[in-house]
Amino acid sequence: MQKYLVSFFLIPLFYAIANGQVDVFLKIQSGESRKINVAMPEFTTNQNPELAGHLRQIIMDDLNYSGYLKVIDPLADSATAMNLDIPEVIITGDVAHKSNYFSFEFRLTESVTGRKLLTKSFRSYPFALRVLAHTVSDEIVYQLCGEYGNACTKIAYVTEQKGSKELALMDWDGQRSTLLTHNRSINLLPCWSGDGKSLLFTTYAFGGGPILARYIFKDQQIERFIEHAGTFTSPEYSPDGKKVAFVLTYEGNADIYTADRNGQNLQRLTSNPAIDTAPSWSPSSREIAFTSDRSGSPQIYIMDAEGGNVRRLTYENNYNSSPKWSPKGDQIVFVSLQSSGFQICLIDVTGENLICLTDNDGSYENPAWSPNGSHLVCASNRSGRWEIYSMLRDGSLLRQLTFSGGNTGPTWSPRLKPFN
Amino acid sequence: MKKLLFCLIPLLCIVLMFTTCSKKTAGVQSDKGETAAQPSKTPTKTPAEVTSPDTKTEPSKALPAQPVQTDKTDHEQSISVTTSLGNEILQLDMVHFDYDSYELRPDAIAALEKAAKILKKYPDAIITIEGHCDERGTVEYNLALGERRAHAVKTYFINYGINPNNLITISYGKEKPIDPGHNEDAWSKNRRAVLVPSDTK
Repeated sequence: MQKYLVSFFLIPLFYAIANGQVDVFLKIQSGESRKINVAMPEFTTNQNPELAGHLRQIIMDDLNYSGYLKVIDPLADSATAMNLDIPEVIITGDVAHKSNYFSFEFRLTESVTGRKLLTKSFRSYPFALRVLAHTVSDEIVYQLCGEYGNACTKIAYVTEQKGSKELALMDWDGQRSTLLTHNRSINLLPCWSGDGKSLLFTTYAFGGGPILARYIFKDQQIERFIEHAGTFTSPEYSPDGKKVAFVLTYEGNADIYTADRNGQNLQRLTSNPAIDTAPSWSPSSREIAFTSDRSGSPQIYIMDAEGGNVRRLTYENNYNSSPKWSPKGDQIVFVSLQSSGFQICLIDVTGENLICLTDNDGSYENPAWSPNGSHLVCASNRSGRWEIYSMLRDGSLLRQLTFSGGNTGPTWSPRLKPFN
Repeated sequence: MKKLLFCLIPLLCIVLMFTTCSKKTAGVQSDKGETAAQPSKTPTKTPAEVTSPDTKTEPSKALPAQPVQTDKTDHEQSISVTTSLGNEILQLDMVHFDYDSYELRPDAIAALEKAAKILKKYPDAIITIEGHCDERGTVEYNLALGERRAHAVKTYFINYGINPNNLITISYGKEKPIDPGHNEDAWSKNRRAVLVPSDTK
């Protein structure tokens, strides 16, 4: 945590000089699967090849996992002479190690024309190497594809600790994991505020049944979110930051409510004797997807943000739950119970084009979107223990992020901006 | 009383559980029936209308308005009523449920009737009813389902004449399995309601 905070708040120590062009090399179209081939030779360095190599490796991993780029080795690939593997862009870098810090300059060059696309330099400390690498990776993706990558994001999740369930945090690649809570209670279902400064979650830490609380990163404190009595679960901030949707259970019956972002002014959205739970806002903050068993089995529904105009979205399978609306607004990801357990599925908000992304190898739960919608994160027991995994939105490049067991309920941060 | 109710972390609690087999019960109101009559909803309102759950809801709920740190030293410990109640309740078994169901099976009814008779002898005892689920459901849905299970037990006790103000329900969803296995044997054990004598008023 400390490391994270240091790198997060020591922003003035970094600076960036951009003198490249800002036109996008290749605008990624929605649904496009073509990747840009890039080559990234070893970075030059005055005296620290180890640091330069480490930096290059992190950037390369980030770029390959971005879904937009493919880092190829032109020397190795020249032997096979595959046309597809000719690099379109060359990334070169130079690391200059000073006494207790280092500077890094990188250039993007179009390989055929030699045209310089971007030159940028950064100064950083060795301990903040990963932060720098992720920042550079996102810059490269932005420059080439017109959209920031997810490398400067984090994933909050729930981790089992000797019988309790605590909130934890890690980088998008699973590195630098750290515990956030230490209350030895049960903490569940974290969700990020739009500014990335706090998490709202369900907790038993105040005694009694579950209520909502907020974890503030800056002071590492937990504060109760809604003051008045009741059983509260499953919070989610509206994308416009004005409201929070959550579940309030009364007399055994769960219904969906909203409150203002300060926890005041509760509004009831559903008044149904069935279970209504797991609200997820549309990016416009005008609609909410949720789970309800009003038809007799849990299914996904959509309603207006005031509770009207309820319509059913899913009809396949008899247990669909945990909807999360995509950041671009076109799709909803959810889990659907199949023979081997829950699988991650996508459906258009129109109810069409249902596809399942996972392989029936174990159960997958609590899917959540990356801020740009290119990736998904979820928990799975496919290894025999519950771990966090990420994947591209088409289900490819499944990547295991945790390895300690007992890890569930991930949620993806908005893009954090440590260098601004 | 509020303060005392806080001692959830079952410090002084002896856990009691009951068992069962399967089927429905005619003797117990279903959740759907009860929730239709909940006070925060008036018959004229449509689902689209919004109402505040506010202060009029859950007058008997245990949570205080202020955030309260769980502080075990605050709790009244080992009150004789609790202890003897705990001892008696220990003799009972556990209440189980069918998959994705909150209906009390006949075996559950039998166990609850025994428990209710004991509770009648301790009119001041506060009982927390925990609702639990197996792992085959999502976190959010199971939190709601566990609440329904706990509430089904609470409703049984209320119908039996137990003071509703002495009954607290808490759902732990699938977060506290007693059997960590991944088979029907484990699942059937985990779909349960548990009585925890918390304290006296």
